[in-house]
Amino acid sequence: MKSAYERSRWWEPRRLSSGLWAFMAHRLSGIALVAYLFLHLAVLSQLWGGPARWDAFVALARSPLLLALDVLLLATVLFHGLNGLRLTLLGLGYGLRWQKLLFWVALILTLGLAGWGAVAMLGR
Amino acid sequence: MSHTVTLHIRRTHGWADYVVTVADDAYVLDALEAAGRQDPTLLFRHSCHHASCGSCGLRVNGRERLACSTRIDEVWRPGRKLRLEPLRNLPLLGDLLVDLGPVAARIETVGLPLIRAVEPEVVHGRIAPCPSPGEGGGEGSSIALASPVNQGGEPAPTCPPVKAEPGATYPSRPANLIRFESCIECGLCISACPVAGSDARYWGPAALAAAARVAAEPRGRDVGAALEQVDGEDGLWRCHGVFECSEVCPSHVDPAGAIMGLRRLRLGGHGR
Repeated sequence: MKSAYERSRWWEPRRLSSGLWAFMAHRLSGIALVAYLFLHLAVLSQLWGGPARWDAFVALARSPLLLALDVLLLATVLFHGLNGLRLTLLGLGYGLRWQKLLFWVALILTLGLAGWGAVAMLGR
Repeated sequence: MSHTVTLHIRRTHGWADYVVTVADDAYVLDALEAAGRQDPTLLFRHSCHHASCGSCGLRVNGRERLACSTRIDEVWRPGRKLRLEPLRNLPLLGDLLVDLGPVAARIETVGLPLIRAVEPEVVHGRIAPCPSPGEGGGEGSSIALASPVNQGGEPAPTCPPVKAEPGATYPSRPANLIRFESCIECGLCISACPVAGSDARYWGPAALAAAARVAAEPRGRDVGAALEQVDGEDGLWRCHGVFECSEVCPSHVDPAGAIMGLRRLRLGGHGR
């Protein structure tokens, strides 16, 4: 008697293996960036409302909350891009022995550059 | 000294607890066998007890492991339950028992010579030419690993079923000796792979590593045909580089590394 398969789930952080964390974070950041793209297009459509409407949005965008969200966006873009480079290298058969190290390098660079961006944006 | 352990087992129709007492150096399989003596209807599989047969794979506290080579004190703390579940991404037969047939079938399709009946003679790092046409049979050279005996008690013929290619190189460094031949077909890699969970047509880490093995040591196999089979959207290119298969592999086969290596081969035009 065969019953249905039980399938593994990609969003399941079963343990602290860096490859799985990288995979989950890459997917989540990719989904977030696609969602942001649509949000970005929606925001740009404010231009149809004329200069006054756009200026009002720009004022809102300079609020600390939205600047903090910008920092989060920057971190998302950085991680997705840097981990994408890691995956490209691995997918071509390069650096396989250092796949865990490459994940940590991508993460540290993400945090470092996002931190630098946070200081630049919020420290004004 | 002994441990009294509560096994929290996912059975076909729900969870069940079994309290068993095992030696303090016992393995998960020892505890399972104790539970099986309490309840003979509990389904699980085992054979060799020393991580060679690959039949006792399951999930211990969520992680794929072989029950026979996982010590209780590695995965259990007093006062807690030890959670045991069947492997995933494979047909469930009942309780902790899954059908490993699909794993073996795909490995076989790739054309892996799973049964190493003979071992090529290696001289100075290269597979030697046939020393004696009468013994080795043909152009390739091989010597018997042991003295195989047929069922009838007669010595098996020394003529190898798959001949080594004269001049083929062997891995020169110990690190290069990690190869698919160590695969015990336990299915842990399939269960741990999140991609296998989302695409039932995916060849899976074990079969793709088998293809890498064929590419690395063809031993008379058609490398192009083996690679052609796995070069597709449900094969090499479906892998997302999660490396969970390599994390859980009890034989250190490194299927993820094998898959990435195969991609590099294909991109370089190998086997076309």
